[in-house]
Amino acid sequence: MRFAAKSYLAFTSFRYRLLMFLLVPTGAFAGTLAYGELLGSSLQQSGLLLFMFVWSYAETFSDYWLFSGIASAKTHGSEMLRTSERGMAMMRSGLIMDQVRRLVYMAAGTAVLIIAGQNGVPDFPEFLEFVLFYYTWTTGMVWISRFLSSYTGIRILTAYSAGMGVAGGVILTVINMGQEPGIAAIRAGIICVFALLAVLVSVCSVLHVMKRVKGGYYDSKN
Amino acid sequence: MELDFCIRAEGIKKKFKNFRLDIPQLDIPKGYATALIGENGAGKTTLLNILTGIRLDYEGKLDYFGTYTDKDRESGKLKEQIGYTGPGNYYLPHWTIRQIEKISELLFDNFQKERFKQWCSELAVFSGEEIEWKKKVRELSDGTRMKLMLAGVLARDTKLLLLDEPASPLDPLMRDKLCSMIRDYILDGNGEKSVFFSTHNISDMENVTDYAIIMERGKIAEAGFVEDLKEKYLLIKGEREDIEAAGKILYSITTSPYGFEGICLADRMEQLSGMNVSVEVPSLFQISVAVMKENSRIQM
Repeated sequence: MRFAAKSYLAFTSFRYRLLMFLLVPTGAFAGTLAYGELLGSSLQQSGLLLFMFVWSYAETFSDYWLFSGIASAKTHGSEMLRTSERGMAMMRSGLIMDQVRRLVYMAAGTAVLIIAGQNGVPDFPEFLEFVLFYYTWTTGMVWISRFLSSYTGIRILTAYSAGMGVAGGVILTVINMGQEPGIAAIRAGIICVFALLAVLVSVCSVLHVMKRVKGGYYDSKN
Repeated sequence: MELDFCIRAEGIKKKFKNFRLDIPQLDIPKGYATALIGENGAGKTTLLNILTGIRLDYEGKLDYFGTYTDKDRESGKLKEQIGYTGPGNYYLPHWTIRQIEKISELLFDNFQKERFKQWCSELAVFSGEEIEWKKKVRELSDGTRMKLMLAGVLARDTKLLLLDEPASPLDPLMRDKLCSMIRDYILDGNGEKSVFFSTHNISDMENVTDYAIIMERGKIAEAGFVEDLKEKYLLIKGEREDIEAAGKILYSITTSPYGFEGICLADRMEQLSGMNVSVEVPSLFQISVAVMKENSRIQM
């Protein structure tokens, strides 16, 4: 665990840590609260979407400074990592810890916002829905971004992914507003699907990027 | 002379679409600096990548230090003893110097931070006195990047350095420094440390080269201690009237309006008797070019 944490931190530059560990979470959180205060309306709906938009955008975009298209055909990993016995373990640890950090930050931020929006009484299923959906969506987009080596490509992907993420959030919100008798079952189903997808995307993204990085050892670039 | 080898390779084969590396036997002597020479596309980088372990798809057997086989090549014990620098993506372009230091510490037990700083300062990796920790790899010139890689490998206790084209991006002064670094590294090892480097800058690196391997079209065309090669090949200079006769005997020949100059195998010297020629000791550059000419597809 210590090696995993150290590996992840070694991959992060000071600027990245400052931005993603401190400034973006604080900014997104404070901005969303201020937005809710200004509107004086349902924070949990639009505020949460704003929070997630900023978050998803920052996560996908900032990966350029973390793994910078590590799985792209141009980069294909680092030769330095391949010259050490621990290189691949370090890479894997970095990828996994990045997902853990993302999940923890998203969950904590969403929880606080939902609590704030509902006067201290969180709707736990809604909390789960939003966290799982945005974690899965953002992790998927970050996964794709690691195959892009150009800054422009990542910028385009980031803009589309954040926008589509918000669209997904709107759909979730609309479903949650439903009063029909079967809505609870639908929401439970959504949570199960997203939980499954979250696990699937997390595992597959690490395995796929690792396969690609290890592919640098061989001719076939996977 | 009984020789030990830091690497012995047998039957190394690697196929690409239009290229085939085929090395039946390769011995790199322990305690010496060995130069790998060859024209572009001769297979030098492929061979170095195989020996370093950053390319794993090949046929053949490898033996390191007489102790480890290619089955052990991914073991930490072996990798800790080998330092590598190369022209590819050794460091990721967005890594900062601070990150490189931290990553090196995590990857290699024998990496010493203080020594890394010392080497950065000694090689003048940064323009000022201080290390620019926030500087990114992509902001460095090719030469500075090479100096940084050298600082990184020399900050570790290794027994073998595998350097792919270390001299190419360096200025003449730094090439001279590189030669003295290689010499010091070998002297410091008391016969236990070796350096294997590829180069196009044969003249610049000649004074540090003990053993040379000349590759052409995926094969080893010539190999041996430089002193032995200088006995095997001789530099011949002659008059214009002997060009035709000498051309049939010499290994390689260059003509001019005034005469000719070429490399002759020592055991064919007798055949030059009767010609008005002078005999000199060739440089490694001249031997290498002659061997490469003989085997190259370039029409000279």
